[in-house]
Amino acid sequence: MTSKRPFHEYLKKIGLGLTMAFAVVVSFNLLMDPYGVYDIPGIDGINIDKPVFRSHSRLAKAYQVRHQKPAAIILGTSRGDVGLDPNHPGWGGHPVYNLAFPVASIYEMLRYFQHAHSVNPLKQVVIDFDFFQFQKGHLPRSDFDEKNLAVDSNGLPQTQGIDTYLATLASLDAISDGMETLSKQGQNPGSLNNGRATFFSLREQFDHHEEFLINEHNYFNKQYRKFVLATLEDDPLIVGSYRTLLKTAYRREIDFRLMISPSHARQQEVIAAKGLWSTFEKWKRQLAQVNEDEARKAGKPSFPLWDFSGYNTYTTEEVPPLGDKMSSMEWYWESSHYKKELGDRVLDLIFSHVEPGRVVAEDFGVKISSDNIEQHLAKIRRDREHWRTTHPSDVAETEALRK
Amino acid sequence: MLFNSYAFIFLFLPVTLLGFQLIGNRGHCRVAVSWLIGASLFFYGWWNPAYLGLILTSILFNYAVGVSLGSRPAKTVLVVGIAANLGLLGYFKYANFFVDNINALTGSDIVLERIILPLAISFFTFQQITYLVDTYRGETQECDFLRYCLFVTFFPQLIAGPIVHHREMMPQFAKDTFCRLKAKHLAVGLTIFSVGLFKKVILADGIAVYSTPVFDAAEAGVILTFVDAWCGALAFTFQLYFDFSGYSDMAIGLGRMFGIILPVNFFSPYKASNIIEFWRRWHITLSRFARDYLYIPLGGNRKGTLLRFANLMITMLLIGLWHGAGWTFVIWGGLHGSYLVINHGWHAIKKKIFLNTPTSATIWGHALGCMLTFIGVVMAWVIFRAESIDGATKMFEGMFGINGFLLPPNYLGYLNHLYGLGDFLAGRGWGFSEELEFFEGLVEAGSLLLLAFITFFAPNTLQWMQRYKPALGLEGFGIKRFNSRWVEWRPVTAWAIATITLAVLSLLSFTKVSEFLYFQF
Repeated sequence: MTSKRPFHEYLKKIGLGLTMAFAVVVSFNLLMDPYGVYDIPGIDGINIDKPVFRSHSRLAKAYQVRHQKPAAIILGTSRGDVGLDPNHPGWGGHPVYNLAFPVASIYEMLRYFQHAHSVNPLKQVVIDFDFFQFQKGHLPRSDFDEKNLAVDSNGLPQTQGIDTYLATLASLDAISDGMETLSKQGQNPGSLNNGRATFFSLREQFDHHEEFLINEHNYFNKQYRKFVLATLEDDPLIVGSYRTLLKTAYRREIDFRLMISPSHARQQEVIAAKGLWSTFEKWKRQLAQVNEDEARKAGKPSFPLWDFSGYNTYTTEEVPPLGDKMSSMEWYWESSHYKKELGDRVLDLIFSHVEPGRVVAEDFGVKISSDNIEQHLAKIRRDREHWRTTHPSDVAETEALRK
Repeated sequence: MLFNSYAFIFLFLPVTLLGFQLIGNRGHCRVAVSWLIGASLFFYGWWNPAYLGLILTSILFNYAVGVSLGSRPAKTVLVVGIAANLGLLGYFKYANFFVDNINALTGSDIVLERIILPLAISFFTFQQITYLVDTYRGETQECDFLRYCLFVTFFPQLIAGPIVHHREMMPQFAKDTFCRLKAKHLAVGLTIFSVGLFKKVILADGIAVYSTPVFDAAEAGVILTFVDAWCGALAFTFQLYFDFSGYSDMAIGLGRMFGIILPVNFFSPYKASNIIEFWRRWHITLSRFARDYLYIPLGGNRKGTLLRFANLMITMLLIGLWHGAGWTFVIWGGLHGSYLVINHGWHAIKKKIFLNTPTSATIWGHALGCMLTFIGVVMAWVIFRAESIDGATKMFEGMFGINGFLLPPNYLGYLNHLYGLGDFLAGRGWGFSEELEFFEGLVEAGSLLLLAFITFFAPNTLQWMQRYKPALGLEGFGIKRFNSRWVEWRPVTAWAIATITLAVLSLLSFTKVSEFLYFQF
């Protein structure tokens, strides 16, 4: 039967269809809340795990901070994200959130710190620094969006744009991530409620040794490829952000604990193979110097700065031979990402915490300052020479990257 | 305000339609027209309110000149009118270009601040010049001020065409039935708009991710190999096609919602089997303007072959310059001019050889013609898209194989399934290596093929909608009825579902959630 008013009917169908389609899409995305933007109550088997959280951590963590209002945070790159535990007993009883995310730039660290501090004044912050973050021109990634943060770069409150809501409720991306959320319930969600990531290991495909090689290859050919150290003089965004971070903390009397990531001895061979050893040392001196400058200006004792790299019981853990798919390393995923077990020992030292039944090796971690840094760097150089003589095959593998 | 934005689709358009309907329904047609002009000016001013003064001054000036020419057609007045229009366009669009070139040529150091190009100035200048010329020639009597304002500002065509002609617009604005929305027009308009939106947001923006990085790299001096360069060039060729085709559809659809039928601007141009035909199908209203107000007044084809070719070249060079103030655009226009000269020359030779016996091309001849035309057009787009002549050269070096031939390593295996093509190519210097920088494998190749299929084989929007006279000027294209009436658009549920699907997919693609892809760091 044909309608007498076919065009009216047609328009009605389109109007109805569009409304229904949008209602369904928005409800679905709200229910699944794949990025945790809306803090929708979790339903077992539906939306409780957030498998796409980690691939959108800049967005997701900005909102988690709003919801959880932590008084203590962890800043850092994926190493801090994976290795440092907000549930460690050494934290001073504050609600803690791991606000580290992959390839964080120093500017992003500053901005997320400002964000978290404006949501709830912070009491304590642990910052895990990586050498590559101080590469000249290391800028925020494309998924960084200032608009998701509660304050602008001057620390002034800024209103939320509607864009994030449109994108997370009414976009094909959100639908696809919502579907992934639904279909991957009960599997490894990739990240925990406290922000800490569970490392995405490639171990199903590769053995430990291969993972080391892949990571070293990436660092040699990508991260360190054209490495120039950002210095006080010529990169205001990077070193300037570091300075602002410290200045704010000294002024607001926030308890900062700074640390250099405990990368594996082989990772340090990659740095040396790239000809960056003296730059690596210069970087450590610079971290200490800016820290002390800002402390002096504020008239406060300087924040502790720990160096966990170097050669010690943990960083020299033997890597299982190629082809050994059975052995699992105790402290490392690969040459740069350390496991939570090592992260716990890092936090034991940082917080002077003694956990019954947990031993921390005496040669692990040195608090550095201008008073001891030269002796410390000289010791690492000597330790390195020693390690190279006892690990010829490891050395040969990292040397081979140059070819 | 972009057509493909939430603000336009969910606020501006419904409010404008509703206001127009409420006022028009009470019989206040002139008020409704004023409403539509007001809305169009708001639409224009959204971008930068400061330029509202410019468009209003332009309208008032041209209207006054038109009135004067209508009562006494004085050549001096016409010349002054045209000169003022071209002067305005010249100042805003070409002053910086001109000064930069003077400085480069003479080594002088004239400083001119960067002048911001006002939106739509290229379009409304041309539309008003046609009005002045035709009034001078006594070919138009229209002098109603409101309708004139609407002719210039009508938002569906204001920003990116079609370049409408007063002769086709004024009578539609003057109709008694204008000012009352009709379900039929709304249904047809909404459908065409949705198709256009899909072409722009999903197809054009979707393929752009494969072209932009390649052209950027060429501009930065990166050495491009054969596959990278060709895929970048083809991706841009389809990006521009669906961008423009989509925008033309959206304009036609929006006009139709108000009961106004706009001229056809785009009719499957890549299906053209020669370059003359290409220009009859690509940016049709621009070609029409150039023909009637530039090429023919220059003498057209009435003064011998040589002058005809010279006129063609001048016209095409100016069309090039109209697209943008830069040498790449001029070269692009010149290249198309020489294509046209060759094409006309070839036709003349063919005429002599075959002594005017009409020769109909075989299907293979037709396909060969299409392919040659397409390749010529792709080459020209490279110059059009490149930001500099160096950038274009870098692209051509890649496309001509000067920097070698690379494919991803796994393609050796794939291609060997095709009668050992992989080994054959490897034996002739092709490399299979990860060094290939941009080509993203099967997804990219598949996307390009899909778009090529739609471009070359699918009927276009105006063909689907043929029963409802979607655009003016379709007579020349010999549109054939489909064999099955189900294929043609009709206001039935199946087409409603198709339209909803296109619209929803497009609307859900306006915003994206950025993702972080490199877990390892």
